Amino acid sequence: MNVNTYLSAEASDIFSKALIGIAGAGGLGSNCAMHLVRAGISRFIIADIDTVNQSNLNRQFFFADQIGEHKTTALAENLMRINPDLEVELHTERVTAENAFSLFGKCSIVVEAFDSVESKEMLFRTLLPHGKIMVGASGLAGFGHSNQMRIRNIAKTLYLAGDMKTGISPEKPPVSPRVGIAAAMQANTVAAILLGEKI
Amino acid sequence: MIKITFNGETREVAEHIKISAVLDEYGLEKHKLIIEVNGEIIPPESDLSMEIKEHDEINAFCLVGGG
Repeated sequence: MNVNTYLSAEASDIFSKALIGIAGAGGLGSNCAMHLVRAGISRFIIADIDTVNQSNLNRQFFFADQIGEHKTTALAENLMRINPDLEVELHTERVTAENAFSLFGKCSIVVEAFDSVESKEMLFRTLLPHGKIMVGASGLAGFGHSNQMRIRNIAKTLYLAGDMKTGISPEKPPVSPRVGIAAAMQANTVAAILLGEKI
Repeated sequence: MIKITFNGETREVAEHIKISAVLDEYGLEKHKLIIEVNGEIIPPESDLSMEIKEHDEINAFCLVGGG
């Protein structure tokens, strides 16, 4: 099913062939994937080890009746309510330096959607040397400061969304609007790269 | 002085300057950085006292948590 009927035939063809990796199905990954599905992308590899927790409902694309479900299966279920014809490969396991390339090696673009600095760094250091195009995020905590959110092409094949400085803390928790901005910027960047648009 | 590119901006720095000195100038905390020199991301254990050469392209970005 084509959920984005506004797409040109050419763009539709490009999107139908793209395989997008979603590394982490939390605030960034779940919302980014939702945007990509609505944009017309239909093939995904999603990896996350966690289950949906009540504290996730402040920003993640899950619902109260999914608490306790694996995020991978809950996200696939929600994405398929938008487009039932998706091809989604799910990996309910922790992404590590050892398995990251075997999980995401065949993806056109990998979205880094982890929470911790260590996981973000691990994924970049593991996949960038393979020349993988990656769209990550850094700096999205708290409210306000919308105009500080940017997308930057930093290394050859790495794009980063966020303000590059506001990490999470008790005073600045991750909340829906700003995490959502970063996730939407990631999705917009994936689409732009695929279509050859300016990021 | 030599010309380099740092995070996309062309600028002049003193000859024989160390990467660490430029990072300090931008107030970047080294332990959270990923640093790319001439298209290659350098390993985390790299010696940041290495000297910058004319026309080097250096990108340094800071990772913070949240997602």
